Amino acid sequence: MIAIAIALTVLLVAGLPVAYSFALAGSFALWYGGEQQLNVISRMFSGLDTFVLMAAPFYIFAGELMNRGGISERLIHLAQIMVGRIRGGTAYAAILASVMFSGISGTAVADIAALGNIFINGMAKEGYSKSFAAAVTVAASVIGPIIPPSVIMVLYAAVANISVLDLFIGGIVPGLLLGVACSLVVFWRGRRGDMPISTIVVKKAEVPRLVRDGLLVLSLPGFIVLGTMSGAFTPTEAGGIAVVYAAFLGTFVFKSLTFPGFMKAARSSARLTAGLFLLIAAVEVVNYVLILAGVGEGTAVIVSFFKEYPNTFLLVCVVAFLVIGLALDAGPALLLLAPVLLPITRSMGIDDIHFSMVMIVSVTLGLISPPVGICLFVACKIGNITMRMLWSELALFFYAEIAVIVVMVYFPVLSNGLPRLLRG
Amino acid sequence: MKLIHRIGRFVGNVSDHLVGWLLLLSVLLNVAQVFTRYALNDPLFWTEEMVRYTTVWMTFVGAAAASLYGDHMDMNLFLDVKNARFQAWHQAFLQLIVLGFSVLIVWQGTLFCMLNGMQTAPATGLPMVYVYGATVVGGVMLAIVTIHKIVAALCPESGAVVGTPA
Repeated sequence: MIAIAIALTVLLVAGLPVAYSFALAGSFALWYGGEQQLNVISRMFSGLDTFVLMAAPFYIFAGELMNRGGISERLIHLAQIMVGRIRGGTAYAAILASVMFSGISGTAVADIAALGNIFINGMAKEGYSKSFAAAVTVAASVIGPIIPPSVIMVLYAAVANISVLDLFIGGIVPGLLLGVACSLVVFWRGRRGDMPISTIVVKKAEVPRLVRDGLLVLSLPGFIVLGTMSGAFTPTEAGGIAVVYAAFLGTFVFKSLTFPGFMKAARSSARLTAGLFLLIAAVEVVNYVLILAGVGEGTAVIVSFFKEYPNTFLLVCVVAFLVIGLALDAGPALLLLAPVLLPITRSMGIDDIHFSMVMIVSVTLGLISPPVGICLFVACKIGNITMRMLWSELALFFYAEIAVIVVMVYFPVLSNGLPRLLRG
Repeated sequence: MKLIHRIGRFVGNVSDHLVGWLLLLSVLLNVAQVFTRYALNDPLFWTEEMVRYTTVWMTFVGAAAASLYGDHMDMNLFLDVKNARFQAWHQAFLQLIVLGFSVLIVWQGTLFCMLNGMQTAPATGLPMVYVYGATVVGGVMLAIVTIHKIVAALCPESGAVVGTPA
């Protein structure tokens, strides 16, 4: 147990990719405990041997195709029209576009990569400061992995053995809440009336086409959720169909997707998947070591300690993951600890979906918390600003999003209400 | 030196294209599964298993491409150190550990194949060596790409290009 903790820390701090760090730390702990190295291979295979996992590359691929097929511009345009020409209009539109885009993208980085360029540089032209523009876009990008489809939820469902559909449906309300929180911050910042009015010019004749395009795009998440909910197909099958649908839209309806573009999307999605799945496989190795080391006995102590205070335990977990998120992407940590934490929360009477949703949102916030949040890097690069400038504007959004998590901790119905209502 | 880079990039690109096609294959298998279930009322029984094995191959083979193009997630604490020599040695050191990982999975993967390779998959009857072999193939590819990266880090004058996918 201590062997693996030390090995893991050393490798991660040295800067080795997380997947290799996990696998090698697991291998080291096995060697230290006198176990066979063959377990590394067999655990990696058993980690990958889940059909649900296959949904992840499909959602990544579908999102990538949508993006290359010129979807982002259309969604952004639609969001601007829906918001209209009000003060701070484009800031609200950035949030709305992120909410809509999250219905086709499964990761926060995909969100910021797709929307960042247009909003960060576009808003600056309207008179917003670049750091504010970047802050709005970054803050809204965390909605991406919360509103379905979501890659982290698929991975989480696979390691924690929870219904991915319940997670998907459970993410809808928290995702919208995050959007509302961001909008409130924009409203607060613009209370003195110094926000630029959006300068968007829309030809009346274009509106029906934009609305049609928007509906076509947004039918994808609806299709995934409704199709899997009705039992017509599994989440993985829905992902496969989503890819076909996205390819069809890009090629025949929007006519902006070519075959080389299509293959390029396939390759970059596959590379990303390989990285993620190697991580899942490596997580399984570490998990095996933790079980061998008797992690179960340690959990009994925690349970007896927090028994009367489940909410306090949730808050402790939130804080722990936010702190981990300061140093690295907390996603792998969550995947590692979820199988350990879930039995604890269950015995405290915390609902699985409630706990999972709170954790997933906390982990996602790590993507936008300095100093190493990946979305921050992307946004700084796009807007050509420093981390410090970005954070000075982002802080308020960040705290508002933490407030959403606290509300989620105390009102489980926000997370598990919708899944219960729809799935009984 | 040039040869090492050429081979490294070639293997990385092969890995890249291979996983792209594997992803496409798994999409097709998946759609075939839904199609045969609803349109033909006679679902294929082997597609799910094949999709899972395609995933295994995608993971291990794709590690090389992900490594070449820097798609793996890491912590990057030393990004701000401006000393070029430090960066080069740090990079080489990390890649040496990655090389260790690839040796581990090739070595143990081979053993694993020899022990369990003759088992057959439940639905397709495929000998499992075709699945478990992915660790060996992927590990070798990763090792080649990693050697290329080590040389590139230590001898920048050897004309190596690391990064940006084709």
